[in-house]
Amino acid sequence: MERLAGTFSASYGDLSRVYADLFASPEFAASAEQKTKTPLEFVLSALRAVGASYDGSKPLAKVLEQMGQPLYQAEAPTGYREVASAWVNAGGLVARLNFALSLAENSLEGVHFEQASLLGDLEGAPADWLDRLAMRVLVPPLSESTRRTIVATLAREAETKPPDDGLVLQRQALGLLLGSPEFQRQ
Amino acid sequence: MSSFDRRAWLRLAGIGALGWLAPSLARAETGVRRKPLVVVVQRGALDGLSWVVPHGDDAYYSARPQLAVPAPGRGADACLPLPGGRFGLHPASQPLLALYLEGRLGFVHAVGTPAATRSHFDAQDVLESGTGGASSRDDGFLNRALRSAALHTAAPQAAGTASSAATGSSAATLGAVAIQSRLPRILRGDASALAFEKLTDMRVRGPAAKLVGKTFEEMYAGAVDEALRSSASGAFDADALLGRVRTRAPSPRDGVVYPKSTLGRRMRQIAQLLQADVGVELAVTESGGWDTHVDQNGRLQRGLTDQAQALRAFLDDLGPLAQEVCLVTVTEFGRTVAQNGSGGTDHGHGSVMMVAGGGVRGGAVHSRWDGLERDVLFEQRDLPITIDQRDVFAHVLRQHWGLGDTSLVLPGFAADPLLALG
Repeated sequence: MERLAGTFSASYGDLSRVYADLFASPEFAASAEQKTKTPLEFVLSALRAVGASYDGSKPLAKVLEQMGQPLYQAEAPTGYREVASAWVNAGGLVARLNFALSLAENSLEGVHFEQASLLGDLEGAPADWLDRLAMRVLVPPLSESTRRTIVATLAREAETKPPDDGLVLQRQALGLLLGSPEFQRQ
Repeated sequence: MSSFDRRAWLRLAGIGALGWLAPSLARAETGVRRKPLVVVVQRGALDGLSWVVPHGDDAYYSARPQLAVPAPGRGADACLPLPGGRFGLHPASQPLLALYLEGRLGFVHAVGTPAATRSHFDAQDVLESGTGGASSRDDGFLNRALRSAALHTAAPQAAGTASSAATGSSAATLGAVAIQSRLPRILRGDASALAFEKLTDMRVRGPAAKLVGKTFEEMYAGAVDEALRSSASGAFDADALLGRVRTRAPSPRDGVVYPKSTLGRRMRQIAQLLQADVGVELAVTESGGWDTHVDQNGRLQRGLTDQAQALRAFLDDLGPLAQEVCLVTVTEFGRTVAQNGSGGTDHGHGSVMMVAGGGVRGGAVHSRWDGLERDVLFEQRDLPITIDQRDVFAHVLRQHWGLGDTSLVLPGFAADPLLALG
């Protein structure tokens, strides 16, 4: 803050220089992925991660309400809140998990993504393609424990599903990744 | 009215030295669970003058020539007479009349928040924060009440003890719930409280839901972020408990029929939670549709019918357990005494609260009623507030939960000694 104030004074109030210093600062870099997405950020980033199209149907507004951030209904007088505790609660989290699963299944009304183009080339054992899928949808790297958990689940599912059962495992992996703790980070 | 007269009237109305509620064992002293408190917030400003009708006041009829609920005996839509002669119950609230006559349900009239606002948002903020006015506080007073039990135990308490007690109770039991999609302001704060619209909302759904749910549980158990980790464990614990609720109390008691409405569904689920004995001490929900600027009579006929059926079904469904429960309704403010030009009423000031349950000294309309003549009205137009909502809540928290000191719950508020001591 002091350095930025110094830049501000030295540049006689040139805000573009202040922003340049702010964005180049190590503190700014270190602040990435430290915050939790708001429901709106979570939903939009999930839609973008899978390249979904959306026709503007109401169900997504309903989803946002369940997650605790009803569209255009910020609470007066302070507006939508800036702290994670307002967004991360048991009910809201379950709503996020269910949204992630429905999105991966393409079962949300008005929302559609091309499964074949996102998941079609992921062949073989889940352990072989999970990292590639994670790279496509996540910004932070997949943690080792999340990775291990997903691989174990997919292995159990693979035993019960016939091997040529479409993209079932890939969709399931996608739902788990979008619902993972990593995907909740800003 | 002089204070002496008021005192006499309060006695007459049933607010005496022993209060409205029989005292229950204090959790603070005994460590036992608090008796369930259920609060229904009626959002939109319910017209108290239509719900509990002052049919003894001529001014009511001259201010509302087309909208007033007729006095008892004056036609099919007349109000139902309540003993005492001054007030009547809206005919759509007929299901509540028997409870009133049995003394299990009572009303508080000309009650509200002291803030002079006519904005729904501001008034709900004042009501739910429990501060009596504009406040920078983010938490709700019922959340503070949840934490206050620990503050009154004999041993000195650090702030951390209260919150760890709250976290601990969330793992084993449900504690405080809101049956609506978002946690309402009144219940927000440091003590854990869960909001859900339906008992099934805590479930992970979809193909292979069970396995997927387990997977998420494992993932979040290893999450670095503490808030995410504890929310997730709260969610999975809650789902396990709600699963028990669904199987333990699968259908209403014989003969009990809830209205097929949002409020009916919500009250049914609160009854299910209480019947299943999963530790719910506080349940909050809300109803809407009370902002009757137009077509007030039609809207209230529907709304009050739904409300009376839902609340009656709830208390009937609880059976003997209703003796242990205290049910309170509250709205942010009342409506203008005079009707407007579109068959409705506009934002006003004082309204009505309802208190029901085993410990309630019902069968009375508790009030400091001074009539509806223009010179007694608030700003010469609205029912004045003669009893603060916080007096009612302070009383309920003391008597029902055994809270010795409500100063942390309702900061800066001194409960009316006339109400508490008679």
